[in-house]
Amino acid sequence: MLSWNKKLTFLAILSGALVLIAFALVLFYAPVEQNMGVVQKVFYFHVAAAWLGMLGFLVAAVCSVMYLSKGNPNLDAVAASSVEIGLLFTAIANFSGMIWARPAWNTWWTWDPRLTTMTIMAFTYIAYFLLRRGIDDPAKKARFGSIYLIIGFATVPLTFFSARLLRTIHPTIFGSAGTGDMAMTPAMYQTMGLSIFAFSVLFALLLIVRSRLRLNEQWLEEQEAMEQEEEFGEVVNG
Amino acid sequence: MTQIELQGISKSYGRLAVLKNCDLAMQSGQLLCLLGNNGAGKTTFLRIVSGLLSADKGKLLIDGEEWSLKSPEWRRKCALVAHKTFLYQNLSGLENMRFFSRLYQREFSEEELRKRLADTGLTRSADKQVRLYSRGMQQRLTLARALLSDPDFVIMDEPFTGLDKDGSALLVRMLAELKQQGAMILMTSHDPQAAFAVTDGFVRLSMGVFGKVSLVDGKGWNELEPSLYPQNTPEGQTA
Amino acid sequence: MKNWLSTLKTLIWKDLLQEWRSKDMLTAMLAFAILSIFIFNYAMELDPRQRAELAPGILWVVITFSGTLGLNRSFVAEQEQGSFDALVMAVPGLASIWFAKQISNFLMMLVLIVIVLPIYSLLYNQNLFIPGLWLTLILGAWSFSAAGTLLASMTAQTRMRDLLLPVLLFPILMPVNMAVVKAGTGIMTGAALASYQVWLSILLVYGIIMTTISFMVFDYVILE
Repeated sequence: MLSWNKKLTFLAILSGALVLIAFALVLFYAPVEQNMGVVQKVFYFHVAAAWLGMLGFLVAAVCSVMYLSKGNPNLDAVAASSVEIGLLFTAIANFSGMIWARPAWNTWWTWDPRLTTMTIMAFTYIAYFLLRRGIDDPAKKARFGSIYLIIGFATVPLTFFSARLLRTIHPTIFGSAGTGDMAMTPAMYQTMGLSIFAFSVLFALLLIVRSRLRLNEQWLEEQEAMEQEEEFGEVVNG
Repeated sequence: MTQIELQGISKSYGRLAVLKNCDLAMQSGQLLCLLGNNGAGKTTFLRIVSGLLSADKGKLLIDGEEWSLKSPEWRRKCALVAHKTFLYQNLSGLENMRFFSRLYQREFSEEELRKRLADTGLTRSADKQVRLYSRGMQQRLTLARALLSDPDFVIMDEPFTGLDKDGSALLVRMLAELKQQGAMILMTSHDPQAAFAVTDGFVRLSMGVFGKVSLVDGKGWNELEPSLYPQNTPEGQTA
Repeated sequence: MKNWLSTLKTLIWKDLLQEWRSKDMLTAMLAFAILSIFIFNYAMELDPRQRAELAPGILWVVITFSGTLGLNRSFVAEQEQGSFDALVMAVPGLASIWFAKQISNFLMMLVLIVIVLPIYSLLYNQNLFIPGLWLTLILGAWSFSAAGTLLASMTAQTRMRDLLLPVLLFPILMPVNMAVVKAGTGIMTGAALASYQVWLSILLVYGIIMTTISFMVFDYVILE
């Protein structure tokens, strides 16, 4: 059996290699899209990042449900870390989208339902950290955070459902082919698949590392509290 | 309900243990006073016993039968008098009483409620809003409210704070009546002498561990003290 | 069940009586609502032809913003004097505490709607007595009070309190905001039912989901 640290190193090397390969495929293997040109290539990262943002929030919601039923504080640490990483990827998706939107739509930002709902969703999760910061008791912080992540996630599918009902100029990659959609060749699909896989491995790595860091932070805080108690005990009992 | 036993109550926040395996047994008609420093875990223990805070470990036996500390049935047998008054400031004393009696599904008549208020010396302010009450009046109303449900187990966190001399005398009389009716009372106090008049015994909670119960049995405070504070603690020296 | 209902009734009666005595919450909510209608008027220079379409959006913003003021106050009595503990110890089932609070908050929203709509009608000389519009706003108010009561019960226990509630509540209410405005505009402009029916369904589904989730997690807010 490999030790935890060795496994992590292995995972880190793997994800690094995968991201590099995905990068190479995007640059050299995937063909240039006819309508949009080279800038379309940002999509391989844009879609992967958007998907991982959603995955991060889903993982957080699942961990929250489990935390409330089991009460294991590690689950809360994973949930909070997952939200952080989800937010990071959502931000990547938003910025890479803007890079594409500038030449495609001739504007950095447009009040398209897809963009608007995505951004408001990000605000839901930024607010989550404000809520946590407002609570001192660690157990209460974890409980309230979990509750918020559950109702926060419940609105995500509804948001997407409602956004679809509004007219959008945002292309849909999978499923129906509308007017603004791209014609994807097999090479494009393969590149997209590998890109999503590479970023998913990176997501797993980040989640593990961040959760461990968070647990270590908590351990240190508890250690300090215990030492303070001990000091008081020594003073009282001589 | 003639006897309850709390066994192995433990509670920790993270790795910080607040209560370590606390046992306590009480008989009907008995009043015990819990002593301890700030931060010794008194309030935590009282909140666990009243079912508001869940313990990590520990069980409750009533007449040898196991009950859940978190069941509504147990909570409704208890009454809690804590630092905060639990009163609604915009309602009058009478309305507060009526509200809580309805929650306990006890339809007291207005005369009965007024009589209970009169017993705590609140006849003339029964229809005034609680926000206009003095601290002592609020504390007396809190006592009247807590006893509305005819509780079997009364939990009081520092009940003497905020009461003047007459208020304390009233409290002592009420406690004696409760004991006669067969209720069990668990209270905390910083000041053992004040509790001395009514209590049947003392227990000391120190660093999350219960000491032995020292029953009064007609002994004076000076005789009890060495058994409560066995070590040569700063508290023991000054008291 | 009979006990449960009478507990619920007692709890709601207490909330309403408390409010009736002081009228703090309602006065502030109404004053703010009417002020915002005036602010909207000069900020957006509403011209008569746009009004019909904009009315649902403006009304909804006015109602939710003033509603947030009320939500922030709704747990103050329980918080200040710690009476939550007394309620928890007294009721046979904890769910009644949450349901009662949510219904009281919903009733406050209803009062707000009943007063604000005629005033808006009067000021802009526009007939708002359209059953469909009222239904939309009332459905929206239910969802608003379901999500809002749960979040307010949590923010009341944080350091930032009133500051935090809108930041948590408004992103979560996004589907409701969209649905109320879309359905309301459809109704006001006399569009066919089929064109906005789906928004009413979203409102209904959201209301049910929020009520159910709050009902399931509320124990974790009050019990430690």
